Amino acid sequence: VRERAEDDNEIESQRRRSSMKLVAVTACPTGIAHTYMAAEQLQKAARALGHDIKVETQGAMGIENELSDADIRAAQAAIFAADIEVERRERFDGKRVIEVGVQQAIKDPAAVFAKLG
Amino acid sequence: MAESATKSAELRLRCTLPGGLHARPASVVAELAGKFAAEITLRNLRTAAAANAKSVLSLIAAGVQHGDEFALSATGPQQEEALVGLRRCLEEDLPALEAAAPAAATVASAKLPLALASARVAALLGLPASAGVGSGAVVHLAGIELPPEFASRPAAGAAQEQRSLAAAWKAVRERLERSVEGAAGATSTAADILRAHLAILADVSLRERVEHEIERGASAVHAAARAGAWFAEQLRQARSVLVRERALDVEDVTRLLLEELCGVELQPRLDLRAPSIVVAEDISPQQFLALAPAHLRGLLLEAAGTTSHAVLLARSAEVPVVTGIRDARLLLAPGEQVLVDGGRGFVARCNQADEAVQRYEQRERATLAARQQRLARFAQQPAATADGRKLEVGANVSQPEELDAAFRRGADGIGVFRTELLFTRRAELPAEDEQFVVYAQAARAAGGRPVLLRTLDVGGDKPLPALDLPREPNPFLGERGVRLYPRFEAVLRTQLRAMLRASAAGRVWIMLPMVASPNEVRWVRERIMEIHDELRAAHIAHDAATPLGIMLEVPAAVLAIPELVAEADFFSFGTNDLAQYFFAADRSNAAVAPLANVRAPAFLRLLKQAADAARAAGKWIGMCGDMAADVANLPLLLGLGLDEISVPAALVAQLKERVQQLRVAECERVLNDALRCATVAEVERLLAETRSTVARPIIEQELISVTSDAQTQQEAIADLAGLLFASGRAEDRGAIEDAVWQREQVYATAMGFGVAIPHCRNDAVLADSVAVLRMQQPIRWGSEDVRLVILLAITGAAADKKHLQVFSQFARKLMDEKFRDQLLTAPHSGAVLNTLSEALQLN
Repeated sequence: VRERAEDDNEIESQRRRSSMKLVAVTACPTGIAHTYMAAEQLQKAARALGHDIKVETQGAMGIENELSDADIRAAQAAIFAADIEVERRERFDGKRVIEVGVQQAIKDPAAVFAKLG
Repeated sequence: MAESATKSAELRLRCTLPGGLHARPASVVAELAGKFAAEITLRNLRTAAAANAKSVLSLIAAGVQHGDEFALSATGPQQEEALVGLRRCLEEDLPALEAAAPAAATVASAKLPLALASARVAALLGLPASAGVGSGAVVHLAGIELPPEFASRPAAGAAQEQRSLAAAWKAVRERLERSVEGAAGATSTAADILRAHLAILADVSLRERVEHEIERGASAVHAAARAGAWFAEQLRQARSVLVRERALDVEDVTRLLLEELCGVELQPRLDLRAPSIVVAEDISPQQFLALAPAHLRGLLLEAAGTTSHAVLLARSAEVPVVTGIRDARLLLAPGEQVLVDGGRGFVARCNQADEAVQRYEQRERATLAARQQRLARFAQQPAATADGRKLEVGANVSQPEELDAAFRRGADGIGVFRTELLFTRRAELPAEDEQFVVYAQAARAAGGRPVLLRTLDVGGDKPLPALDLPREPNPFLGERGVRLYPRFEAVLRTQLRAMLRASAAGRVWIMLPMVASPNEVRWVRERIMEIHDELRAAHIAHDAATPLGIMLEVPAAVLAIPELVAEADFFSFGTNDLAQYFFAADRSNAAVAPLANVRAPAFLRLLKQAADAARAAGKWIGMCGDMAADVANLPLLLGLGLDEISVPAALVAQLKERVQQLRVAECERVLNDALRCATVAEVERLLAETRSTVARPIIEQELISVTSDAQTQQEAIADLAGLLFASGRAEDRGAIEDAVWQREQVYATAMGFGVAIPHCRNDAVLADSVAVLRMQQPIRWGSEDVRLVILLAITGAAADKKHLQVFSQFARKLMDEKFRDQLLTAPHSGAVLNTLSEALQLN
C-alpha cells in the first residue's frame, strides 16, 4: 500500500514537472468558426496533457478572453494557431512563440504541443 | 378678353415615373386628355419632341424618360381644367398606379452556376426576365410577311378603301373588346395588354395616318401596313427600352387589322407538339398568347427588354424567359435540347452534358417549389406577431380588376377601395346600378373579409370632368372630399345607396375622406339613415349595421377623436395627406416634401395620440397610407397597436412574414424610444437596430435536409444557398454561393471527421442562419470525404453579437465527437434540429 502511494506521488510530481503554463492566440480569416474550433482543441489537448493554458480568440467578435501582460509574462511559451496576422503581436516580444496553422491545431492539437519539446 | 381666350395655358413638369411615360401611363394620360375639348400638346424639353396628348402613340414616341422635364400646353375650352387634371394624374395617380404594377423579376447576375460550369456545360448568358427553369427542344419563331397576293393588289378607290378600313377597324375593336371580357377572369396582365391594344386602335394619330395614306392612293392594306410600320419605327428609335418595346404592340395591332382586311391569318398559330423552348428576336403579346401553353417550357429573346407586355404575360403564366441573348436564332438550331433558367438568365445546351443539366433542373425545381410553397403559406394565413397579436394586412385597390390578384396574394381585406377611377375615367357620372355592380363584386370577391369603400375623394386638385367643381387658389386646403358632399348631395346619395346595397353581398365598410370635424360625419350619417329607410321601404336587401368610418388625414380630426368616436365606427390613417397637412409641406413640391417625414418623432406622437384615443373608445383603427407599405416601419405600427394595415397587393406576403418575426413588447419599446427621439435620423437608427435584434431563429427544420443526393461540393453549396433562398433568408443566391466559395478558396472547410463547415458573412444573408445537409453518399470536399455539411451564414453589416456568440459556441461544440455522431446518426431532420437546439441552448 505504501509502495503504491509512493508510485502515485512519483507520477503526480512527474506530471507537475512536465506541466507547463501556456498562452495561445487563435485567428482565422472570417473569424466565424475555425478560430473557436482551434481554441477548443487547444484547451482540450492541454487538459489531457496536464498543461495550464489560456486561449485568446481573435474572431468576428473581436478579441475575447484577452491575454493580459501578466498572463503572457507568467507563461513559459505562447502558441499562435493563426491563418492571419495576430493582432497586437508586440505583447509577445521576447516570448517563445510556436506558430502553426489553424487547421493543424484543429486536426492534430497534440502535435502542436509536441513542438514545445 | 378676346386675347386671353385664345391664349393657351402651359404647365411644366418633371417625369417621376421610374419607367418614363411608357404605354401604360401614356394610355391613362391620353384617355384623360381626350375628355377635354382643348387641344393639348406635350413637349419633351430634353428632345424637343412634341406630341398630341390625346394620342397614346404620339405620347410614347415623345420618349419622356424618368427625370425628363416636359411642358403641357392646352388651348381652347376647358384649357385650365385640363391642365389641373393632367397635373394631378401625372403627379399622383400615375406614380401610385405604376407602384402597384407587377414588379420586375429579382435581378440575379447572369452567371453559369458552378455545378454546370464544372461539368463543362455550354451555355449562352442573357438577362433574367421571368423566373423559373424549363427544358425542351428549340423552336424558332419567325416574323410576319404580307402574302404576295395582297401586297400586289391595287387600291380600289379611296372611298371604298376607307369603307373597308372602317369595317376592319370596327371588327378588330369588337374582337379585342370581347377578348378583354374573356380575359377578365384570367390574369389581369392579359387584360391589360389587350386594353393597351385597344388604346392603340383608338389612337387618333394612327387612324389619321392610315386614312391619309388612303387619300394619297394607297389600298387599305398598304396604308395600314405603312402607318403601322412608321409608328413602330418611331418607337424603335426611342432611347427608352420601355418605349422601343411598344413597337411590337403597334405591329400586333397592325397585324390584326391586316388579317381583318385580307381575311386570312397572317401569323399561323405556332403549334408546339412537344416540350419546347421558343426562340425569337422578340415576341408580341398576341404571339405569346397563341403559343400552346401545354408545351411552352421557356422563351429566349434576342431583344434585351425585360418589361415588354409579352414578358409580363410570361411572368404571370410562370413561363421562364431569358432576354438579351444576341444571335440566339443563329446559335441555337431548331430541335436542339436546351435548358432555360429565367431566374439566373442563361440557356444551357443539354446535348453534351445531359445528366448535369438534368440534375440542375431537378434541384432548381425543388428549390423554387419550396420557396413558392413557403410564400403561399404566409400569404394565405392571418398575420400574427411572434407573441400572438393579430394584424390584418389588407390591400389598396383602385379598380375591380385588381381584386382577384389582391386576394390571391393574401390580402385579409381591402383596406381602401378608391372609388375615384369609376368617376374620373369617363365624361358622365356612373349610375347607381353600375356602381352597385362594382361594389358588390368587391364585397363578394372578399368572401367575408372587410372591404373599405372610400366615398368619392375629389375636388380642389382632383378635378372631375362630370362635376362643375370650383377653381380654387389653394386647392389642398379647399373643397375636397367630404367638404363637397353637401353641395353635390345627389352624387353622394347615389354612391351611398350603391354601397349600402352592396353590403348585402359581403362586409362593406364605408369610409369618408378629408374629415376634419364631427359635424361632417354626422351629416353623412343622417343621409345614410335616410337611405336605409328608403331601402327598407323598397325591400331592397342591405346591411343596416354597415359601419361608417373616416380617414385620418387632417390633423384636426386626430385631436377630435374623443368627439369623433360618437359618430365614426372606425378610423384609418391616410398618412400621405396627414403628413402633408401636419408639416404644412406640399408632398409634390420637392423643395419641402422631405419635411413631411412620417418617421419624424412629432408625427409619431400624433399617431400615438390618435391610436390611444381610438383604442380607449374601443374603435378599430388601421392605416392605408404609404407609411404602412414600408416594411421597416412595421415595428412602429405594431407598437401603435393598429388593427390593420393596407398596402399594395404585391407587398402583402412580405409584410405578413415580417409581422410574424416581431414581438409586440419589443415593438412597443421601439415606439416608446422613437417617441422620445429628437430627430428622424435617431428614429431611423432605432429601426435599423430593430431589424437585427428581432431576427428569425438561427436554425429551423426547413434549413435541414438529411437526405441530400448532392454529388459534388458545387451541388452541395448550391443546395445550401437554395435552402436560405427557399426559406426567405436570402434573395440573391449567387452572392451567397460566391461568398462561400471565396472562403473555400482560402482553404477547404472540411474539418476532418467527415464534416465540412462552409461559412460566409455577406449582406445577401438576410437572417443569421445555420443550414444543414447530410449526404446519402459521402462527397469530396477539398481533399476529404464528408457526409455532413453545415453552412454558417451571417448577415453582413449589422451582424448580431449574440448570434456570433452562438456560432462560436457551435464551432467549439463540433469538436465534441459525441455531438458529431448525434448529428450524423439522427434519424430525421427534426432530430437534427433538436440536437442543434439543445447544444446551442436555443430553446
